[in-house]
Amino acid sequence: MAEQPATVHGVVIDDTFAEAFGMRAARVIITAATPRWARQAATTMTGFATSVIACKCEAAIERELLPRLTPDGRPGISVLVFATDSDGLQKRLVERIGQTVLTCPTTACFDGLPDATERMSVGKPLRIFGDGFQSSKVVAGRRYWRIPVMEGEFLIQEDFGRAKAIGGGNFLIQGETAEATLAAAESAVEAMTGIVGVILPFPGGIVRSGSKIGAKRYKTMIASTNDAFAPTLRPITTTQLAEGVNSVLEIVLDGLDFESIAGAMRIGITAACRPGIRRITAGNYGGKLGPHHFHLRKILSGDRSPEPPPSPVAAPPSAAPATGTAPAPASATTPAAIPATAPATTPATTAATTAATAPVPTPAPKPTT
Amino acid sequence: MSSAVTLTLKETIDGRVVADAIAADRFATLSAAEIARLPIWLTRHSSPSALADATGGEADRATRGPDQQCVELGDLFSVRGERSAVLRVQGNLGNFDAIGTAMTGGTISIDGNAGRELGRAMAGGTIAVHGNVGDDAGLAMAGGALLVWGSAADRVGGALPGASRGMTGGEIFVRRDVGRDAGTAVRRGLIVVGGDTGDGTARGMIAGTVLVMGTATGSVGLWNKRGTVIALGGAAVPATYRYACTYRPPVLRVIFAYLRRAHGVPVDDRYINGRYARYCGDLSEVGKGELLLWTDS
Repeated sequence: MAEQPATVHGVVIDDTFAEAFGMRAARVIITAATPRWARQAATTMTGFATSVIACKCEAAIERELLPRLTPDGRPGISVLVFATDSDGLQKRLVERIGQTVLTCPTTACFDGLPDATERMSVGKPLRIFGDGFQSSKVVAGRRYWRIPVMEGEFLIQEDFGRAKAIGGGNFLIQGETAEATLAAAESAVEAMTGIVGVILPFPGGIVRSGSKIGAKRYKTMIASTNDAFAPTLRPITTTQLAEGVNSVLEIVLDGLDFESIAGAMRIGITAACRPGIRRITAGNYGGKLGPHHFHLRKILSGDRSPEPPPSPVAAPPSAAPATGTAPAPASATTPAAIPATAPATTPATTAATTAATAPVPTPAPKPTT
Repeated sequence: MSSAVTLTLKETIDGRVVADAIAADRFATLSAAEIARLPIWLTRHSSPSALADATGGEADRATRGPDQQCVELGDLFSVRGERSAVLRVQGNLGNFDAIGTAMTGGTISIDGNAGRELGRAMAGGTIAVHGNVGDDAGLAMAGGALLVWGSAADRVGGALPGASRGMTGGEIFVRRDVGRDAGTAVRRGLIVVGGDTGDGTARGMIAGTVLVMGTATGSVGLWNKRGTVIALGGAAVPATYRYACTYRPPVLRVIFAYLRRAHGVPVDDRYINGRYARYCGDLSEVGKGELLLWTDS
């Protein structure tokens, strides 16, 4: 087995892991007359889709597709959409495609997981926008709906594949200055951009406001600021910041499988280890909530194999990563699941227990603040 | 088990032959001896010259008689291989009818012509003919693929006598021309004709798609309900169709991309990127069908 590095380019890699959750994912192929319009539709579709806490799904552009890779031979964009459950995923797709892709000039929309055995009806509910004038065509065993619109015709595949996926892979970049940290995060995002099967759902792929489960003061909050990693609170909270760290940024990854996320994390962490960065860590809950554990040092050694799943824990079936800052009412959060905080210099398993990702027991109906 | 079963025609047969026993999926479980014992029906004709026409002539039809005789497949073919759903047939089978009847899977490759009713009511699998085929190819076809490298005669993808629906699924590709009444009463599926079609193309079409890469001659799409007829080489627009617009139908790009990738059909870029005049019809029916004519502009 390869030696697991404790440092990369002089940056300390904590002996800890990112804890991630099972989700459901779909891949949407958007094509258009030009790459510009394909990207426009994809960008609009994936807007406000950073965290399942309040956005109900997480979505982002996976990669650009050359015409030879798309079903209609036009320039395309591949989008990945993640949700906590199958029904929610189908609803989000119908909403978002209906409002952002159908409305966008020249676009067409196709399933990007044709081999998935689980199928969702997406084009079928959207077809009735055609008010009875819609028609369908079956090509190569797949049904497409032709919806007449003012521009001409919108084409969408009837059903889309759904796959089991993983949400909430993450790592935290601890830097000496805000500028150095941002530069490292940008470097990581650039390195991870276009990796097949992985998206970074937050703005520009970066999270500045990682959260912990619940709140110390506000009972209704399902997630609140991750004070253990907030530099301004270092002397007044139980900090986990390394010495000399003045800014922390987080990269959150959702992926179609463990190997994709692990591979992307390896590339991203390596790219982030540059001058001005002191430490790389990750968010977890002690391994008790999420079944998928991404051990940083193991990943960096080139080992992408997933660990055997842990024994069942108290996490509710609907638990899912709730990254970011969007507040939501707490109903059944389990702050007790968070182990006691550890000194900032403590490496290893307790280092990042107040994670930037938090479980969502139930979908949050609305923010309370 | 063999990688393939090969049937080689021993000698030219006079008369028409009903060879509905030749279906790839049935061969998958049969030994060579069992294959050789499959029944084949011979119908003798007084006019052997008509047999040479693989596309089936009127003279042939007129002289059909009751003189039928059942023989074993092994009497006509040498059989090589067993228990395989991959079947290769060698010889000119222009007078062998109903090959691939009700086939649900496997592959038949015919190195020569085939007779009438090729792939009759087939629901799956692939039949490839490296020659011409007779009338009624893909008759009442429900699935699978029929690939004809030559021409096909009349009523491709049509309906059984008295039936309200023709082809209800699957794909038919004819590299060259087809005869009259191609796609009659098609309910679902795709028919691609590399050359021209005769009179009556897509007559009474219910739904589905007929793509004519040459010229659709004569009447096209009469009594079409919801079907799509695409003519790259032009067609006479029936009086019961109305012009809608000229545009680029997105679904055509999907169809063309599929034809290129899956079947190697040569589709010129000008057809893929071109604009099409859309005519709605047949307005004497429900009027939800369409005729898409490629325009050079």
